Amino acid sequence: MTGIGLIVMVLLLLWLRQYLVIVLGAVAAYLYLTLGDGQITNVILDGWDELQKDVLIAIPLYMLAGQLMAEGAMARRLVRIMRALTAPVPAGLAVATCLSCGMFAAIVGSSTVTLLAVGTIMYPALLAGGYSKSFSLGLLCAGATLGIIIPPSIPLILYGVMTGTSIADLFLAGVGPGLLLLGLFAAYSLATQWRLRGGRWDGAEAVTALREGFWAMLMPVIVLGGIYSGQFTATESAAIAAEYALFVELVLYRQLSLRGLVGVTLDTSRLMGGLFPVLMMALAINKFLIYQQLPQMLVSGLEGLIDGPVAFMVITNVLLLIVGCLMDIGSAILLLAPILQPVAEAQGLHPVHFGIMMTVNLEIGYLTPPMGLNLIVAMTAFRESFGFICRAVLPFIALMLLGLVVVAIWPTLTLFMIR
Amino acid sequence: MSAPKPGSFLAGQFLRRLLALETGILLASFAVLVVVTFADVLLRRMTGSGLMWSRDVGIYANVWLSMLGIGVASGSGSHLRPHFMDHWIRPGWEPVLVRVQESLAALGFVMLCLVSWLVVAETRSLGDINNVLRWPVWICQLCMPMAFAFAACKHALFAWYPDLRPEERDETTAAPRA
Repeated sequence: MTGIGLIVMVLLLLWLRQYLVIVLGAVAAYLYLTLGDGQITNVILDGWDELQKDVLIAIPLYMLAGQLMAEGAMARRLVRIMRALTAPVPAGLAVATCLSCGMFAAIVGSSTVTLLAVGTIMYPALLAGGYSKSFSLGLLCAGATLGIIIPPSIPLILYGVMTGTSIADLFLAGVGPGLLLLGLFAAYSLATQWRLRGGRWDGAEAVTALREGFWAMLMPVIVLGGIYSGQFTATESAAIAAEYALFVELVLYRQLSLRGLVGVTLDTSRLMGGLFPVLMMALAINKFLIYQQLPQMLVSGLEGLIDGPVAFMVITNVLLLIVGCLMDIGSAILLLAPILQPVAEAQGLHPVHFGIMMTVNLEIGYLTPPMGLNLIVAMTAFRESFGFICRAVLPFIALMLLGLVVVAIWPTLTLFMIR
Repeated sequence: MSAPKPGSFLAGQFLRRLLALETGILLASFAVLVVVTFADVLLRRMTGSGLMWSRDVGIYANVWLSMLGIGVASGSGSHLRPHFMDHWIRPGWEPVLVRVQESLAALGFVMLCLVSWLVVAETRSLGDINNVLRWPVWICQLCMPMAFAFAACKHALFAWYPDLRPEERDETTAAPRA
């Protein structure tokens, strides 16, 4: 009866278009009142306690670094380098777009920021270079999703926080699948667009681009090199990323005004204000569920129903693909990771492997209607119809599904760097 | 489009002042967060020992930043919201639904404000102190009722004056949701 009441309440609130923080707040209050000790203040107290994790500091700092790069000159200079280096390659502009997305993703950790930052520069260039609208939009929308899996990635931080998995390990594990997807997109571009050449090799342009973009190129080296060499924790590297981006944009490149900096800071705060209260409520519910031993009950309940890890992976991936169509990746991870991860572990899956598989799966949700975030952003930013963009991303969804299958059945691709 | 209600101008002014207050606190929190965390990393690398209090200051700055961000997210229509049921309603009901949505959101934030106020009062009566900073914890917790109250005010005003309501934006960018 309690369960039915909960489901009815959630559906009613969603139908009345309530924000996730309100829905989760109501769920938490309902659970604490009906199944807990009846102390509703424990919702806020548990949420407050969970927000004291210092790894959460990394989220606003990575967001700030990404926004600074997108607003300033770093994004443009990175793209220029990629274009100069790939000019003589068949389908060079498309490959440059893939590499720019991968490089930018390696710093920003956000799919939509990558789409806007790279897309606003590369979309007109791709069209001018003779690429079709459909291919260009599909490539940009898909390439931008690399921001989710190539570290540092905010969804991976959220997964780590919700399941207690090492964030540094998740970051290391994201490299292989990220490169796999990047390779698939580049290979598809070469295979389908090989007739289009950007131009001849221009050594002078390459040198100029590298010289002018040197400081921007150093960013991923510092951020990722620090984490991978074990010099920095995720939080430390986020602090360095934010400070470095500030220094480069304000002192070296000087293309970001103080007013622009305030705007960037406010934008980041807006994103934080949307994410953190939801995180707080989700963490409070998670704490309650752990206290009530729900994950253990779920594991023992599903043991009889799921016949081995293969069946579990198939069922979970289908479920996540559906969820990815209906909600954003952050909400999906906050809600499902703490429930599914213990079941995955009971089925013999490594928690890091499961986290990466879950993230790659939900990454596809950025391209699937009706809620695909990149589709919506591309529709607004590039002024094309929703249906057209949906059709444009279809080949790339197929490539990502192929990538997901490889990630799921080949754990070594994910785990080789942490073993 | 109907003409704005009387009082809409004053409500708009109030919202702008509230945003200015939130912006001031947010910028200060962000500055503290960035400076303190970076200073800690730098000192640790250079001298081998960082700032002992930086972790706690960073966490509180982050919490204040995130909490006060709630109001900014409310004011810019960028709270996370699953949209898949948006079309399960007759188009003619849209104006009424908007008011119901905002009224319920205001009520929800009022409830969160009250409960978090009770938490702050309890922490204060218990005399909890942060062991590293020696600060009373209730002062750090004040951001919760404050942020929820600001958000409740905004949603209540959006329910009463729908013309002030911002266009809903995509959750992770500034792009308007179509």
